This record gives sequence, C-alpha cells and structure tokens, in this order.
Amino acid sequence: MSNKKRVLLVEDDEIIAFLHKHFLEKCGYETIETVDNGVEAIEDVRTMLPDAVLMDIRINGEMDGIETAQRIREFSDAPIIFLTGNSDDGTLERAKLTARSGYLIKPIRQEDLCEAIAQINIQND
Amino acid sequence: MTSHTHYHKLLQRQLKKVKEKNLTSEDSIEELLRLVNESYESLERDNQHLKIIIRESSSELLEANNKLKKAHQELADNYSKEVNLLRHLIDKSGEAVQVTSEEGVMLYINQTGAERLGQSVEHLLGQYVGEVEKMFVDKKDWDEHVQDLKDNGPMIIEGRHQRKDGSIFPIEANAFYSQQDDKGYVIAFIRDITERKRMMQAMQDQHQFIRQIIDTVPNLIFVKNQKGQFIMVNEAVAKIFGKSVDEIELKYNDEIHPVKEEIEVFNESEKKVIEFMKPFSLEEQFTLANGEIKTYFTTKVPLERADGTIDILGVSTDITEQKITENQIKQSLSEKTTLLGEIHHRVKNNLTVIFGLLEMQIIQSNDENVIQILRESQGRIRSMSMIHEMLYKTTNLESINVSQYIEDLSRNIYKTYHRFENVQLEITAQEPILLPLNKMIPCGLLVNEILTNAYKYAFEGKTNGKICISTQLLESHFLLKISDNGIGLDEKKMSGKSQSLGMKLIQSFNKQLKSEMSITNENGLHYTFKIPIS
Repeated sequence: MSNKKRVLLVEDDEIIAFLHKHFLEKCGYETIETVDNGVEAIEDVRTMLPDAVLMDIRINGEMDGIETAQRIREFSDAPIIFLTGNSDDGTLERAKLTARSGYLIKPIRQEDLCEAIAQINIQND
Repeated sequence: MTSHTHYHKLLQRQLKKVKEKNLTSEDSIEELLRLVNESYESLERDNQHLKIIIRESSSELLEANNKLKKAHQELADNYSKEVNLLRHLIDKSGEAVQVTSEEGVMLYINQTGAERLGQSVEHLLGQYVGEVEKMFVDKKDWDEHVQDLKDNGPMIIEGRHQRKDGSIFPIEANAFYSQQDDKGYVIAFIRDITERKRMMQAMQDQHQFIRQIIDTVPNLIFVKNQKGQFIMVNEAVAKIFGKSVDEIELKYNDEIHPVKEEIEVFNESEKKVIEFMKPFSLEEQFTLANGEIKTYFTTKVPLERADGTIDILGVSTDITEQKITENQIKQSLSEKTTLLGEIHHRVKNNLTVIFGLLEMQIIQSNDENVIQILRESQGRIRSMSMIHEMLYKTTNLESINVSQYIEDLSRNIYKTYHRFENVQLEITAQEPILLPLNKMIPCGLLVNEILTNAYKYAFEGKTNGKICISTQLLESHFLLKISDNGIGLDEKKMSGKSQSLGMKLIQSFNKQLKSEMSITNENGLHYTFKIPIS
C-alpha cells in the first residue's frame, strides 16, 4: 500500500479534474476518486476515508461544494480545500465557516495547490 | 213735566171749580180765558220747542245715514278692489285655477287655464272636465277621483290636458274637495309641467347615456361606500361576479364573493384610500365563478359626494393577458440571463483549462525563459478569466464594478509574485464604477501588463518598494492611476524601435479603450488613464 496521501477530487469539469489530478500527483498526492456531485462526494468520504478533499464549489446536483463540505464535516475531519472564483465575498465567507478548510482561487497553479494542501496537513498534524 | 201738560191740568182744575160752584162770574170766565190763553201760549211754545228738537234730530239722522252710505260705498269699493286683485292674481299667477262641480262640470277656470287650453273661459265653463283632462274621459274615473279627494284630502296628481287643437300636454294639479251650501266642488291649481317633463326626460336620457358608456367599457367601474357596500357597479363588474347589476348593488363583497383572501386585499386598499384621502393603485386578483383567476390593475380614488360623504370610486382593468405575457418575458429573460451566465461560466472554465494546460507545460519545462513566457500568458488569461467569473456571479451581465475587479486582480498578481514580499501594494478604490464588458477585457489586460512589468522590472536591485493603484469616477470617465517607486524604465524601451513588448501591449490596450494615457518616468513609473465609460 502506497504511503501517499489520498485525496478525493470533487469537480464537475472533466478537463479541469484531469489537470487538478495531474497537479496533485506532482505534489505527491494520490487522487483516489473524482466525482462531480455532493451526494457521491459524501458517500466516498464515508467509505474511502480520504486524507483530504479538493472541492470545487460549483458542482453538479442540488448541493454546492460548501453544503457538501458541511455535511461531510458532520462525520469526518478530513481537511477540505475549496476551489472558487475570487469575486464572490459571500461565497468565500460561507466557505470559511467550514472547519479545517482552506480555499484556492481558480485558475490555480500547481505550486499553489501543493502549498495549500501542505499547509492544511501541517495544521492538521 | 212739560208746560202744556201743566196748563192742561190747571184748565181742568178751573173748569171743575166753575162746574162745582156754578160760577158764572166774569172773573171766573176771565180767569178761565186767561188760563186758556196761557195754555195755548204754553202749547205754542212746546210746539216750537218740539219742532226744533225734531229738526235737530232729523239732521243728525240724515248725517248718520250719509255716513253709513259712505262707509257702505267704501266697503263695496274695497271689496271690489280685493276681488279684482284676487282675480288678477289668479289670472296672472301662471297657474291654472279650475273649479269643478262634484259632477264634473267646470264652474270656473281662470284666464291662464283657458289660454293654456287654447279656449275661451266662456267656452269652457259648463263643459265636462273630461273634455280637457284625458284622465277623466270616463265619468267613472272622475267619480273615483272625487271620492279619493273626499276620503284622503288634498293630493297632487299628474294628468294630460288636451288643447283645442288636439295636442296634449302634461300637467300637475294640486286638487282638493270643498263643500259649500250642501254642494261639492273640486278646486284644482294646475301647472303645465311640459318643461319639467322635458328636463326630466333630458336628465333621464343623459343618465341613460352615461350608464350606456359605463356599461359599454370593458373596465370594471364601481362605487363603494365606507362600509364596503357597492353603491354602483357597471355591467363588467356584474359579469365577473356572475350576477346582475341589481343583485350586486347594496351588497358587501363577502355576500357575493367566496374568496376571503381576495376580499382582504380589496378591503385593505380601500381603507388606505379613506385613510390618506389619496388615489391608490394596485394589482388585484379575482377568482371567477368558473375558477379562472383574473388579474386586475385597479385604481381607487376617494369620491366626495354633494352631501359631504366620502365614497370610493374604483376602476379596474383586466391585465391577465399582460401579466401572462409579462411573466413569459420575465421567464424568457431569466432563461437568457441564466444562459448568458452559463456562457460566462463556460468561458471562465475554458480559460481555466487553458491556464491549467499552460500550468502542465510549466511543470514539464525546465527552460526558465519558456516558464516565464508561459507565466505571462497565464497572467493574461487569469485577468480575462476573472472578468467572466465576475460577470457570472453578478446579476448585471453587461458591466462590472471595475474598482472591485482591479483590486481583486492586483491582489492576485501580487500573490503570484509573492517573492516581492517587501513591495507594498496600496489600492485606493472608489466604488462603484461600472464599466461595460468590451472595456473590461482591455482594461484588465492593461492592469495585468503594468503590474506584471512592475513586479518583474521596477524593483530590480531594490530591497523594498511600493505600488499604488487608484480608481476614480470623473464625470463620464474612469480615471485609473498606477504608479511605482521603482527604478523607472529605460527611455529607449518607452517608444521607438526598442520599445518593449509590454509597452507595446499597454499602448495597444490604451488605444482599444479610447483613453487618454500619460506616463511619467520619474521616481518610478506613473501611468494615468482617463477611460471613457460608455
């Protein structure tokens, strides 16, 4: 079994998901699953116990990324990194209410992603 | 006692004495004659006296008689005057006066009455009343009328008089029954009401005309009193209630309409009209008997009546179709807005993908120059991506608050070049300044270029520095100032053949923005752009 940290990727755009998966690998993380909606994300966190979740805020389904994260937080402490646009203060404020979370403003650079996950892991550790 | 009575008694006494004593002496005769003479003289005096008295009394009587005659004459004259005056008044009063016997025979009619009928007084007297009053052509009707007057007293009746030429005109009569010397009379004061009838007819025609207008218009027109009763409604109102006009008037809403929620809305608006004494307009819903829901635009106004009471006049227009169309337009607009937002989101995602792909190339490249070029491209993509992000997030899909955008973009670029931790970023943004999309893209690229160049070149060899950005609305222009306190730019690179790519791009964006640009290359670079907003 690999020692790599396992990340669940929640992203509704396949190409962006592919890119972010690639960045995560470059950062030394394993993407255990990519899902495009909140319901599957909650289920995967429950069953696969990822070390971190990379969560786009705008995803498919009735729940957005923030609501999904709040539901996850009810049973999991896995750190969550939100991906969001930069112009919506209201969304950022909502995201910040989720415990053990951080955020990155899209479009993201691999360097920023690695740094964000590392920072969250450091906090968790 | 009168003197002749006295001498008569003396004579009788002397004669008795002569008889008793049988006196024949001359003395006695003398005495007797003397007495006779005295009596005669006394009688003569009394006679004269009586004549005087009679003469005096006759004179007084004559005088009294004259006075009496004079008074009688005055009385007769006055009576005659009064009668003449009364006759004159009756004749000229403008009202016909008619006295008819109980049997219906005209006993008196004044001049006015006769003239109105086109007849002479003489001709009319003695005629049966039914000859002029059409109501009483049948004698039975006259008898009933007389009986009515006897039973119920004076009354006002309307009838139709016929003139000599056969024409008919309407009359109104104040009639009463009177009995004199065991004979019954009907006295009537009769007015020609042709003009009144004409006016009433005109008013009725006018009323009908107004009513026709009110009932012809498709709008609901109604008047309610403050208690909420309908005082007047037009046919359109009656129709929506599924009732007749008469069935609605004097009714309350809850007596004729079952939907309480709708009634509450009606009542609430009517309260406001009375409370503020001002017109009040609103959209009201009304459920028809068949369940169809109509929407009306209603204006209610206070209506002050002649007696001072305040009612509520309401006029409603059926806007159901317009509302449906409006909702369709709103829905269509909403769909298009959503679609446009979605397009912006897709564009933003596509730019994110391109950014990510460049990022992959950066990861795989070992050539710093290539990385540098790719990073610059990423910066330009990000500046455009942020615009689409903002457009997608805001309700206004055509323009953006440029101050907010520049602030966000500047901080983002600052983070990218975080190795310049000692370079301060100072932003003075006046909000909100809305700039249309076609200006936002070159504006974003312009700011990106200047800031990227500043971070890359302005602070070479310096340990710290400062970049200042300010945005300001200047009438119809957006004033953008970007300055640094760096080393400035080589004058050769400012223009001419050796002009840097960055400067070329800045000038190109400036041209696209149709803005006035000024650059000062002293104690750093200072850019000022005066960009027309529209």
